[in-house]
Amino acid sequence: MLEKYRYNVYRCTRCGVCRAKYNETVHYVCPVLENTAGFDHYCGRGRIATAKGILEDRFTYSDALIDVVYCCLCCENCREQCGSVDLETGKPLIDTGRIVRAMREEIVKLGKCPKVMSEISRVVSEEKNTFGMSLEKKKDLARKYNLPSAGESLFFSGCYSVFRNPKEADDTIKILKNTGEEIAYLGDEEWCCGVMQYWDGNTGVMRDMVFHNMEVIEKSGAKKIITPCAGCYDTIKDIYPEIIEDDLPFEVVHLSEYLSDLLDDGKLKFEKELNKTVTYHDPCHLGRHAGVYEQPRKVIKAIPGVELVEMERNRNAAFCCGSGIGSVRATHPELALDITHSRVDEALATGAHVVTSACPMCVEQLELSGKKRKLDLEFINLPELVANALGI
Amino acid sequence: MDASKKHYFLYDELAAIVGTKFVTDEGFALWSVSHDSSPFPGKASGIIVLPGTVEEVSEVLKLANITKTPVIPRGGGASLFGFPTGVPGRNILIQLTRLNKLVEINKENMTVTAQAGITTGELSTKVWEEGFHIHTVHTPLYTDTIGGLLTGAGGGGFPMEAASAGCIWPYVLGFEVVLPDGSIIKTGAGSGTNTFREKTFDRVFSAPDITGMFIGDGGIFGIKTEVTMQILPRPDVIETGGFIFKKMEDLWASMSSLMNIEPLPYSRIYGIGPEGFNARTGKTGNDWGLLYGVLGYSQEEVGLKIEAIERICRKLGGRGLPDGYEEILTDLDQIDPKSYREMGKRSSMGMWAFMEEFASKEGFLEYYKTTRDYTDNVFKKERLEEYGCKRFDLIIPFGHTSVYLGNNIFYDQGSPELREKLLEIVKEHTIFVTKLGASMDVHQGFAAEVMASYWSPTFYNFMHVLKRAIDPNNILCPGLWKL
Repeated sequence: MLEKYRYNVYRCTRCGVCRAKYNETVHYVCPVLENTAGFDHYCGRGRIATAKGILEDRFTYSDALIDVVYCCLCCENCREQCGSVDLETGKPLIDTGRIVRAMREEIVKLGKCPKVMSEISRVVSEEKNTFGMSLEKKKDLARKYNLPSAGESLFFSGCYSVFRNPKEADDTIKILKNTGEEIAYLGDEEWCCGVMQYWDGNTGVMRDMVFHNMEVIEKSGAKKIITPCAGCYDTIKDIYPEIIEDDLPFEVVHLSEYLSDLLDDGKLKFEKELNKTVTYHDPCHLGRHAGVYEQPRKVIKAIPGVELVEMERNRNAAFCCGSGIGSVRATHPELALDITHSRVDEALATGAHVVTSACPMCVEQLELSGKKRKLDLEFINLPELVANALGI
Repeated sequence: MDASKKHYFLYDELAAIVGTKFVTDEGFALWSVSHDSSPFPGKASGIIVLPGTVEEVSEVLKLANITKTPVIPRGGGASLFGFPTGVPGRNILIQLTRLNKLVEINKENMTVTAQAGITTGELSTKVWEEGFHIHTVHTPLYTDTIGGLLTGAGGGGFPMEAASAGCIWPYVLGFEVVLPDGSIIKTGAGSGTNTFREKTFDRVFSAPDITGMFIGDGGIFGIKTEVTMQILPRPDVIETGGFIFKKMEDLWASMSSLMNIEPLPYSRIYGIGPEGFNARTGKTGNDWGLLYGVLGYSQEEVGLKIEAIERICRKLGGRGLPDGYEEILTDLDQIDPKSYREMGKRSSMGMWAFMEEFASKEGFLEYYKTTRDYTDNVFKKERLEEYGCKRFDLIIPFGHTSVYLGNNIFYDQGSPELREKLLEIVKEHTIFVTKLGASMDVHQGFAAEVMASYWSPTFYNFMHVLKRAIDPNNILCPGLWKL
């Protein structure tokens, strides 16, 4: 709840770095601020101010305020550009994403959560996945590749790569097998990681996901989890310990980290030349949230014939794709798409043929812009790009 | 949106001017822009409007003038003495951040024209990218808008090279300003001033220097929507260095001697008291520091200037910075404005209580001792050390004639009790130094109120007449400067 962040809220100096930092790569900081009217309450400083107003009982959660609270992408670009650090904990002092999340928790508790988010939360609670589909699909995937349910190395597919873009799950499994990793898979015992519910304030549902997944992962004997999804990766690695109030008894590895390590050890060689100019979009949950910037780039650069070109705003200054871990896309679809268009415009400016990322949600969101505007750009997620380069 | 909500009394009219999207009177929205970067209490307006064109600004002011509604302009929102009061709850807060375009860089005339809502960070970076340098703030206020800076700071604010270049005002060539009745004028012989002079900018040849009237006016005479400024060739070389002094007297002797040289040998220079020096170096002791940066167009030019600085400082008791002190020079060694952007990351929790003012070079040593003793006493009396507060004395020579002095206190603003305490300390300090003959550089909020308190009756009357002539209904920042 918000009270937990009182200390932090009162330490924002309102300098406006979260609003208007400007240099060669950062430009303006908040995608929401840039794609709305530009009122302060849409940027970090203003969001912190509204949190302070709530803490001081100056106003309550009106419909208009709830709308503002739920259009934050929690992309943490404001936190990153602010850069102030709590000297006692070493953590970011002004973590707007987490403060917004705490406000959302209070909104949920008041029963005022936007309907679309409540509905998604209900679906996750009942069906254990974001798309309300049968977990049998995950079971089928395990059968298709004859994957055991227990083992030291566990593939965590997440919802997107099974229900939305099955090719991603196929590609990831093929890559792991091709590179000699003996993987297990939980099948229908793998529930949604809970990322969306965590960030939209439905923490109760998220906790159910966490404790179930922790139980089945531990039962599987996994010492390592490998996932192609940035959302699952950051959630399990960084947020699960917060929920269970303990360290994880296993390692969490993003597919890009796994492949990067193989490259370092000389155990990965791409056979096929792709001859493409590729630009890489940093997913917020892999980049700013988890600090993984270079590994995906190393993998992309290692593919023969691929030229990696950077978007102007990259790494810790990268703009969000607009999805806001699905929440903003659900609550404010037009705003989300406007943000996506501006990100895709940046990709276009690089002259790349292909936009890639290491998050299925980002790729889907970016592709939406490409399709809507009939752009001559391919949107290929990292597993597919790698699978193509491996010729599998 | 709640259709039954009772709106601000001019909501529909303002929405008709700027569009519904760009106007709000939601309580949380008003609250989120009610504070600046100081401990001064917030002042909520009645409505916020974000005009997108100068014509929209004009229409808003016409409406405000007819209805006698107070208007407060806002740029980056990071002023340091509280916003102008106006009439809380009734003010139209006119936020200029949508007017943020760079209009033109004229390389031949070496001028830049930009809308007032552009941030100084963006302005300086874009000018730099074109091979030029502009005297505007780079840090830490690069989030300020150029219009806000030229309005709310004495002399238009201080560039990084304030020690040698002075305030920003000499580099301002002209404004586009919307007057309280909504009329739009151009000052400085811009195209709106003289039909036959599209490209010539100067402030004094076609008319009196009316541009100057709008610099540091706090926003009482008009709303700036565009500014034209002088740009300079981009310097290529920067060298930094520093000296340690055992006594403040020696540091000041060096500094005042350096101030007598023409042209000034440094671009940036400041002295810091032992508390700040120790905090920055991680050392202990009672040393005073003098740190400088020299910008130039060749190594030879910079070398000659450094030679002059070193000769004087060594002669007057200065010792070169020992190894391990290099970090302290990082503020000064930046040549490219974009590198300043990372400086904020060195900040930690807390906030500065800005107790800064201009004092005369003549008698400065005595003045400084008086204010230092005053701050020492405040520290003891208010037991500020127990609250974890820290001192940071800053002495910046300002041209040949004056000195910018900061007796700043770094405090943890998370404590409401301490916030209140610091607020009172800042207020009392402002009154104390003003009575000693110093001037405040912030032309907003409480600082402007104190300064105006000490205007002579004749000067106050002159300002009153001027204000009423330009703004008969007193709609722009009413109450600022006690007008």
